[in-house]
Amino acid sequence: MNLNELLREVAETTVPEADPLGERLGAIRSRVRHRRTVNRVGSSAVGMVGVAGVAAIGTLTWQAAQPEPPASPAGTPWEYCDLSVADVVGSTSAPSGPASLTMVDGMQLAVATTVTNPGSTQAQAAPAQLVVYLFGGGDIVGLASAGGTEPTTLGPGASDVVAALGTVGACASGSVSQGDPLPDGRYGVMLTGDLTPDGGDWHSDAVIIDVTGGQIAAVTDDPDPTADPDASAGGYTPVCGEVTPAVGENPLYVTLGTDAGPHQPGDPDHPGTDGLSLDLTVGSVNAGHLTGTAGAETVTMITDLDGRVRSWWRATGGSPSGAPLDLPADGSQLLPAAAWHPLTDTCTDTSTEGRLLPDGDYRVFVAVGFGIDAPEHPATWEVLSAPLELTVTGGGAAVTGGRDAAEAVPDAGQEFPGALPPDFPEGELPLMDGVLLGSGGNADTGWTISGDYGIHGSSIAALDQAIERLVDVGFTLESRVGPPEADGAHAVLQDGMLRVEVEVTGYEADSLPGGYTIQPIDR
Amino acid sequence: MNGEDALTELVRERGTALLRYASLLVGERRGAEDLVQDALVKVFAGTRRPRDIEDVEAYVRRAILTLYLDSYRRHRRWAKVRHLFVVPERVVSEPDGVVSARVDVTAALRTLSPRERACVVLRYYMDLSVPQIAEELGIAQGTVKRYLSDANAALAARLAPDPSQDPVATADPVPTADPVPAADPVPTAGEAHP
Repeated sequence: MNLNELLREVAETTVPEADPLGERLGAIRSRVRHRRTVNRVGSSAVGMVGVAGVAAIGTLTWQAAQPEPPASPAGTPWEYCDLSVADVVGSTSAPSGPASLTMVDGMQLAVATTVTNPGSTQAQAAPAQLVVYLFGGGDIVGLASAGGTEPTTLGPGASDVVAALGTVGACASGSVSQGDPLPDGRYGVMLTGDLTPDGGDWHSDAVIIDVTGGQIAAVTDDPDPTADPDASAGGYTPVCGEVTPAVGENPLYVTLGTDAGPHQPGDPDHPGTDGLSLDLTVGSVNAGHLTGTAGAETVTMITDLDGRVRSWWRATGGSPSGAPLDLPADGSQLLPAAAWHPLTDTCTDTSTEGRLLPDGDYRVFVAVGFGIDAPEHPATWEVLSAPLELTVTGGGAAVTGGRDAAEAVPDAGQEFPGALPPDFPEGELPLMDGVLLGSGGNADTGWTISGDYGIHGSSIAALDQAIERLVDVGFTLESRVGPPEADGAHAVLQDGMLRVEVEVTGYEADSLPGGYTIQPIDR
Repeated sequence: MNGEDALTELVRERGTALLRYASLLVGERRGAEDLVQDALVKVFAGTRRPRDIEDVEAYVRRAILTLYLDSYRRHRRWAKVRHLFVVPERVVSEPDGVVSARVDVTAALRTLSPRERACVVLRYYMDLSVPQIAEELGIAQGTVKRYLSDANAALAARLAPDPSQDPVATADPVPTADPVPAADPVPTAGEAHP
């Protein structure tokens, strides 16, 4: 027996079965989606702090004539100075949402955010556990201990404002000693902390500050953290010339869809005419079902290839404002024509006519907020979409990549939305003709399929059509409720292996799709 | 084919081969499953993905190897102090004191360093040539030959029939003057494999 044969025998004995990883496939898929979502969010976050770093490094000259440096904060975790943002804000840390600068005095500042206790027991957010981090180029360049407020007690699912007061000190770097005031430059500041005893870590969005001569000045105009969380999408404010603001991590992702174009510049006074109209596909990597509504605003940004905002447009109150969100586990949902951009240069010319975008390659991002229904833990999640590639020539814009429809680009992470689940028995279970809007589930749990089957306000006998197709392939009608053309009508069929429930919705109100719920029959 | 289709096809059709490969590197089934899973996530979550299934499998195999070697490096510090926290694993004899060839080879592989083991698996299980192994590991061909030679010597000492000692229970392989006995047809390191 030689070594080749020995190793082969060992391998075959250790793994004798034909499909040894089948049981792990669902977990692998889920991790892939989650990782890709995190990558997209992370890339925009890194971009933000990258700009801060360039600004800071560019003016890293020590001001000898500064006011007397404040004393180093007590208890400051200087060990973070060798780390990056990603090291400190781990993947398990929960985003608390926007933060705001509530007080500035020299190098002393107070930052506030709204923290929600996601646990089922009372938790305490102690100010001693809050730390202010300053970033530059993704590396932590300064810190401040927090204090000055009373511990905040949060009941199960409750939210409250948590504030931190601290004096910022720089990390040691070159001629700057640890604890010195920050050199002139632009920085990002965020709050992190934990909820005791078992609420986990959390972190806030970043506040951007400028430091000049030992004085801090706020750059971003952050919303009041005590404001209605549903209005948080309004807090997403791009800054022309800066990279797109980051959003916190959450289980949702958004991809963009439109036709290839070319799209012509539109009239900002008449949104929807020409310009770039975008379909949003909202996906979930959450393990459970999510419901909620789309926020009141969408912010559509056109950036250069470095991610710096060249033009942006905020739409308020139109589609998809208030659109219901219904996402099964790992499911996705289409929000048609949910974002728009006039395709003009809003950064350098704010006049009504607008200036054409210069010829070149750009990227398009959309930021949109979603209010999530959860009786015990209501939340508002803001999502920054995956990018769409755009080439502008003579004012017209052609989409060159990143679309989530037919010509999905692998780099943009567009494969998953808008398609039936990979293990859906497509050949055995015909659906009505129409546009798939959302899907989710797997062979173990069953599938939920929703789509626009052209039944809105029409006389199509949708339920009859669905029943006929299923019966043709061997399904037996078990029950049927309601006429074919009415919301709420539904039918149940089975073929011994699968149980299918067909539901008609959206006939009377054209906002909801019809759908199928399919469950394996446990014999 | 979209990413989910490719992932499903790869796991269904090549999962056995990938897991066998990983199990030879890791030396045990559970860790190998975790390793393959991590490699699949790394490849399919990446920003650049190959398009056909053969390319995907090659990427995943490379990711398995990289993660295996990286993981070893990360855990080396822990390994130095592990004996302070845990009771060493005991070798469980099979009924009637019979040590099967599988246990024998697995135990022998465990005595090799990760790079030596990677070279052995790539050479004798994956049938790669020395230049191919060198490219895969990013090291010189001469280094590969040395790893294979050392590994062959260690394996030969472990696997050579020697009724006077129980090779599995021995803490360290005993070097022999002739690392590859004539009776052992282990191919010579560096030999191109057809």
